[in-house]
Amino acid sequence: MSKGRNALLGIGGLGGLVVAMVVMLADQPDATQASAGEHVLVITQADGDQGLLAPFAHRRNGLGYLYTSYVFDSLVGQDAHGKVAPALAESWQELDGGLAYDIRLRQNAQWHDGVPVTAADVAFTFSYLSSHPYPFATVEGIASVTVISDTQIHLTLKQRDASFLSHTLMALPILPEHVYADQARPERFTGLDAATGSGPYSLISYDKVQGRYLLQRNRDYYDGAPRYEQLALVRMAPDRAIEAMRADEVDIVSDLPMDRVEYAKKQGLNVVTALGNHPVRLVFNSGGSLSDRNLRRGIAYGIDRQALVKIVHRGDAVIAETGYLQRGSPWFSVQSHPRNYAYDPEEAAVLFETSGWQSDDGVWQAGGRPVQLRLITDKRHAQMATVIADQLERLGIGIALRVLERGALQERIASGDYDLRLSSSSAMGDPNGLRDRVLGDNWRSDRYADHQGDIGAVLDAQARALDAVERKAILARFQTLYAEELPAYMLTNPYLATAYSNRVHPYYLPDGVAIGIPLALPKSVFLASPPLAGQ
Amino acid sequence: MAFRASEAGHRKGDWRWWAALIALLSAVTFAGLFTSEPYRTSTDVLMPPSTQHWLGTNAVGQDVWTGLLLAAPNTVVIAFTSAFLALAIAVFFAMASAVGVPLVRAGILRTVDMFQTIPAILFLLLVAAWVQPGMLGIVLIIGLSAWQDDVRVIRAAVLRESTRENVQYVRHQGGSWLYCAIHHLIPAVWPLLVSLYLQATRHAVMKTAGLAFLGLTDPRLLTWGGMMQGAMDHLYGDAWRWLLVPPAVCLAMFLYLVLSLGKIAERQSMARSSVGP
Amino acid sequence: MSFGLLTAVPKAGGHAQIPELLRGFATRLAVFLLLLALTFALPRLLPGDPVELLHSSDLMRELTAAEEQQLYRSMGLEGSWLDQFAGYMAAVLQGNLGYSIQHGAAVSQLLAHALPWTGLLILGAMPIALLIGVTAGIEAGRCPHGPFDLIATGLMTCLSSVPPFAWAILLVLVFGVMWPILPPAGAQSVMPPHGAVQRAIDIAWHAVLPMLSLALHEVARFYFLCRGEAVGLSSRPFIVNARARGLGGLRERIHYYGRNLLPAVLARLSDSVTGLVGTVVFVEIVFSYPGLGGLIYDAIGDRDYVLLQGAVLWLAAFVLLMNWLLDAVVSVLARRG
Repeated sequence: MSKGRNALLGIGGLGGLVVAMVVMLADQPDATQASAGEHVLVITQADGDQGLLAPFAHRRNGLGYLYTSYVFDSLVGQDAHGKVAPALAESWQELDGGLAYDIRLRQNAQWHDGVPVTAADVAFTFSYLSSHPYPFATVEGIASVTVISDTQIHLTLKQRDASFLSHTLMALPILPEHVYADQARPERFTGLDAATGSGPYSLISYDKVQGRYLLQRNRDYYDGAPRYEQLALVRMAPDRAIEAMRADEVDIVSDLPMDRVEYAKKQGLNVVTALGNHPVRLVFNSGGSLSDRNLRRGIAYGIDRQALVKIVHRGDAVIAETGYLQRGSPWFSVQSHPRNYAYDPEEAAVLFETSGWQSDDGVWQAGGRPVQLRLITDKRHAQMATVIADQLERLGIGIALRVLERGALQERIASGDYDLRLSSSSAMGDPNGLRDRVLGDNWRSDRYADHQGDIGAVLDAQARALDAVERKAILARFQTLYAEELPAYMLTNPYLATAYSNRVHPYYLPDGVAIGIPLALPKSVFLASPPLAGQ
Repeated sequence: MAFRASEAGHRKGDWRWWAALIALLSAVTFAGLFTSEPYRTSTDVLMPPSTQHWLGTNAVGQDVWTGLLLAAPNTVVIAFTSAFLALAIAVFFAMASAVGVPLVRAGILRTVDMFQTIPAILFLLLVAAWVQPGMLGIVLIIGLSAWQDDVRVIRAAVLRESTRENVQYVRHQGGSWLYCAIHHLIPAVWPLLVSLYLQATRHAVMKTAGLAFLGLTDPRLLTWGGMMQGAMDHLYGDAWRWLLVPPAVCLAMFLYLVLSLGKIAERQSMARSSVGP
Repeated sequence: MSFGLLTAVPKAGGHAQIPELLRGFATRLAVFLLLLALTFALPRLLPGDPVELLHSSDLMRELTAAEEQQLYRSMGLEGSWLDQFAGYMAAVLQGNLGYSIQHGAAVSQLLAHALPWTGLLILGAMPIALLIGVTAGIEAGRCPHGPFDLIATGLMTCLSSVPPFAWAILLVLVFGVMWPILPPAGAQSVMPPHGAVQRAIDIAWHAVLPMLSLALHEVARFYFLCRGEAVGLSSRPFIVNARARGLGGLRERIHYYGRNLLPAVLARLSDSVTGLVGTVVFVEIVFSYPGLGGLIYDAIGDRDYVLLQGAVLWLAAFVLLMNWLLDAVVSVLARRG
């Protein structure tokens, strides 16, 4: 008797517990609460939580940076075409042939807590960032900072820097001194007050578990009250987001997969697409087994990139430019590409033979043994790797394909234990980043062994060329060298897409947002009037 | 397999199942081993089933039917081998704890307790992320993470059998425990072992599929679970019909067969133990 | 599983209980300590340099040597393994699980936010599995080889022939995509409604599919267990007599079968927790549910050692505690009746 009742009681008790938990979860104080309605603009992306939207707390990726840029303004911003434009700095003057800058701040800029933004905050930011390294830009090039008045500041540089405005000042968020001054470990400062910025929107709630942010417009924004009362940034898989947009619950799907574009259009949604300029690249182990550039060129000729576009991207990509920079980039030069490496197996064979490989019954031999190349990549490029392996094997080169988890991949790259690897990386943003991406020794870089020093010299020269025309000419030389030397072979440049409702009009910037983020969500989309083009 | 004539009255049904299983497994495995179709990428991506591609093609234009065949031997071999490994470890520990000195017995049983309380998934996730196992790796980690549940059961059966006269007699005559184990104990608990083996096989299939589904196995190792993972991107739209359903059905059929066989084996082992002394 | 008959060893009642419970606790404590060491060692054996992996976006600049050194220190990766272990143990004993740089949050805070969601799924799935599994098992075992038994056993065999993650996908496909009546992902609506009651309903609504896919697998486990036991009971004289007297209905099922099945079911409950924890990882990934399983899975991919260690410890503590409590309840019940 008692047992049966006990069991029922037990099950009932469990059920009660579950109800209690639901109520408890529903009552979480930090849960983002917003009434979906006319005044909230809902933006979705599939990735999880990006961390608190504060410069040291957000996830170290483009999306985290972009979201944080709605809350924190920099001195310099971008206009609706991506050009350098005034932001917290109303105007600036280049002095001393580019070795110093006079910067005049806005009179009416305020932090979200009402405290005015002053030159002291800017000076504080530079000194704070020199002792608390910021991952997206560095203040190392700044020699001195002098506060002249509440709205005027004088900077001197250690050397001329072509990217000082378009990279350093644009990338560095200005921090409020009264909030950050006594934070010794800013990466552990994760209260909502850490997100006190001067940007057009302020963070009013953040639900880490659900990856959901609610931003409120900053009515006192110096450029006029922003366009939308609230922005909701939420995590949602694109397929669901399309359905939710049909039901008027979502306004922007920021990461619409290309194979859903047709479907989304059919559902009556607006779609904007653009080349992502994050090409997929076949990086050669140019410091090791493939130090002979004729071999690298031969392999390049032996790969049918048109087929890659068709199979891997189902047509939603273009064949990438081989000089690193891609069409759309303001620094791209058409005439600088002597080689476009159009698919040509015969040319590949000639080049292999020049380098001492012999073909034996369609199988390439080196030193009497069949050639076997190790191709490594991560899961994201597994399909591309499979197709490339197929193509190279048809060419007579044996391929040992390994699709590795990130950690294992990093270890293999660091130890040089590979011949070919597939990865994608940014060809956007200020060209200053090229040095790290081509010659750096981190695992994302080409790790090109620049024995003649040509590429290094060209990249140094462009960094000092303050004149845009001169800089572009030097970068044209870089693109020629890159295509000739082939540290990596640019394969495909996939398109990106964003779906949007009629309440908003997102657009892609030709060279990406700020540090080169390939999303159609620059700050200017959400402002009342896009800022005017700079001087 | 020296299968003892069973005392249970289900012999006819048994044979039907055995025949069905063996026929199916060998057909599929052999087809997989000797299929001449290369599993090549092509520009025909995501094609629905047609006369040219019986089960359509996947996102890189590989033929799904060929993939199913190629995945069959991998899935089947991993399941049976890792189950064998797990059972071998379990039998070893069960024997050792049944006949060993008290210290050994306590040590083994406490270890078993410990392993039984750790969710095996934690171990699997950590190790799999570390090694991205290929075929051998999967067999090892699944074998090593699945033995603990069987030790107690086998030990109980061994203890029961070791009190029988034949074993006692051999021991009196100076026969070693090893001799007893091979000639008397293992044959006596054989039906139980078969039933446990099939159970372990089922679990191994599920675990392998799960690891492949999480993308933690070597991506070149084609398995049905891995094919299902590839289909996850295509739930919205039509392609799941030919990308998800075929490997899922194969997996379910294989598991169903093993489960049914396991039931028969269990019935036999119960029947056997019920006619004990 | 169907083989439950062989493995279910009902715990003996009697005087040995308190020491038994203590010993159970000691064993679990030992397991916990072992796991503590394992969670420290295993991530460090994984290939790859966590600081380099943090540098995973090429939008970031290259770090200087000094900056890298500082990162190593803040991730507890400075010095020899022995130093690191000492530091780790000291911190854990003080209840400090560290700080996840990737998430920008304290590990204990991350876990505290994730655990309730996992707990909700597991605690919600258990009664579903028990109720369906036990009632169906009794019904089938009352008349072995009757029509209900044949249908239910066939159904349950199918149920346990499909891996749990496949059930999850199937449920998403059927109720989330083809016939979208239930939310296929997440734990809450994009914009949670106002009012605690509406929010609670919203959460419960989102938990239906994940709970169901979690419960389905366990249903089969309890079904086969109960059916087997019930078949045995059906031939026992007291039931045969009772039936001859015309007993039937709910009374027969609850008082005659239910009561006698209870020890076997309870003895399997603690195994069931371990099984559910294993399955919940898959369920959370398929439904992008914000619980511990997804957190652990991501932490492995991100090489977030600190979070991984903390999460494994919490999960282990959760399992061990549940498991010990259930054992304690079982033995107390066994003594009472």
